[in-house]
Amino acid sequence: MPFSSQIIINSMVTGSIYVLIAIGLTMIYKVLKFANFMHAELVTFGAYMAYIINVSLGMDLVYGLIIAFLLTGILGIITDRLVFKKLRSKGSDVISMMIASIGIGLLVRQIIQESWGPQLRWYEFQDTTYDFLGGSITGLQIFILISSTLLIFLLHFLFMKTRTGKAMRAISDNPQLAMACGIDTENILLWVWFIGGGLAGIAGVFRGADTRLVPLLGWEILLPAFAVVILGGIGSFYGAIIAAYVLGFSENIGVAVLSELSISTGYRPAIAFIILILVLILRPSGIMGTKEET
Amino acid sequence: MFQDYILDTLIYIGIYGILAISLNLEAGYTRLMNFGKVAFFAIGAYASALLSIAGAPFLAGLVVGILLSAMFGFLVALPALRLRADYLAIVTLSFGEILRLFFLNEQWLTNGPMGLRGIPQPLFSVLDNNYLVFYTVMVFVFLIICYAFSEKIMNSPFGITLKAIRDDEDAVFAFGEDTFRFKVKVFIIGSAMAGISGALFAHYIAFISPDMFFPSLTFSVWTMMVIGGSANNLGVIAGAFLIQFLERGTRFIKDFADLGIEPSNLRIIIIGILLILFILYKPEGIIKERKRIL
Repeated sequence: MPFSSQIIINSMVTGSIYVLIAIGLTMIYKVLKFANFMHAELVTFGAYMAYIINVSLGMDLVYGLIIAFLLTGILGIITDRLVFKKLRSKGSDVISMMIASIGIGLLVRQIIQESWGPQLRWYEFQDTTYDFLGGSITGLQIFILISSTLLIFLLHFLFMKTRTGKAMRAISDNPQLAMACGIDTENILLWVWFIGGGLAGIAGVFRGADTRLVPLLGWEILLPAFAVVILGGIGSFYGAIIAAYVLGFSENIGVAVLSELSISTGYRPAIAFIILILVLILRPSGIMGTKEET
Repeated sequence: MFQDYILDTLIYIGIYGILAISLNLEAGYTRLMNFGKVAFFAIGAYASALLSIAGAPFLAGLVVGILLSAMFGFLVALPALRLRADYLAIVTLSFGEILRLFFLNEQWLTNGPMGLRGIPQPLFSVLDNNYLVFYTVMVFVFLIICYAFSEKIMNSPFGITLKAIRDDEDAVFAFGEDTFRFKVKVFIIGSAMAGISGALFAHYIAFISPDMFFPSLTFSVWTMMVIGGSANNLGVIAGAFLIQFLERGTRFIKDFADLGIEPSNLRIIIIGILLILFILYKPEGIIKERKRIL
């Protein structure tokens, strides 16, 4: 049964996690013009920071979530200050930035692997399963759905109503013009990294709680995250939201179809890849992107 | 024993040297971001290994490996090369991961995670005592062929056009050159060369499994190119030498001192740091590109 209520629940949860990752990825992509491959490791980093709080220190996972948001946001800022800002001031091209992002990603992931080992780990929290229209949903999943929706509204408010948010949009639309208008680009970039990184950290905790912790946690969902960003149109906040749920549904329906056809469900990541290739062939600017991007 | 160790090291330097030259053609000279180099290496390895196990001679396996790698290079390049540089990076990286899933899941063909054992080694029965010497010579013959070929095409009008595309694609396009065709061609050549390297690797170690083809291999080849010197073939071979030295060094230290860190983690951490430092402070690498003045 490829389209059951269980699939809808799973797709919404997957989509909610992808949204949180894709928003930061697409913001950085738009403003700094490069594909940030270390974004995956921000997701993993957040998940393990919450692990320290939740398991090593024995506190509630909610505290872990908050700490993960803060620390991952700060890690985003640190990498920008130590590496990407220097590359910008040297006038390095986007290719150098992508290679540097790979370097940072390898570094972060391998330090995590060294610290916690390659084995699977789990958070400690109580969870209840509820029946919902013939499917089942956990308390955690309800929490993920509600909090990511709240975060989306919060970000919408930030982008539309606050000075910082407006400045972010101005910088991503036209950096030179924004600077000429007296916007402190470097200062706004700090916010982009902090929010983008922080959201990735939250996504990592959600993913880790919904599945398990492993040093490849973020890397496993980097490809769907890029597929979301490109399908949504690079830099498009609303495009990313729609695309994240499209990906969530495609993956979960796709997996159901794969098992119907008795093909290994290990091909799950290939679904994102097929979507990515189709978008590049049919509409490289994405759902809500502009033509100049390609 | 010591002699064997040296020869083994040389064989790996040769195999990675070929891979680094092939990446250099695409990324160093033409600025094509191939983040999935490992895929074409793996195609060469699996194709050649499977044919040899089925009874085909070594050279037949090698040729089919090269052709298949080239064909997939063409197919992957097609949707991505017309678009922005960063799309190619995302598409190739994803392709490598999907291919690894294919090798992992299609047990009937690849024996899945257990890998392929007993890959025949060419002329093994004839040479048994001097086998390592023979293999070293063979790998270096291929390395020299690839080096000479790469130097030749880069000094030909074709290669000069590629470098011009790297430096200013719009200008080359304005002169009426079909830049897309040039990029596709060099990508096919690079993929074919990676196929050679993969076949040599498979027949040397006589056992391959999907976990040998992680993206970290791609990035270790990138590191060879970046630290050795992009767009300099001798430079990238020097880079292959240094990274191989580093890899052996980290394993070697383990026998003498307790660093309190897993050597495989340490190696990737060092690779990450090297990538960041070279991109920041010495982007031209150890041996600079020789700029020809016409």
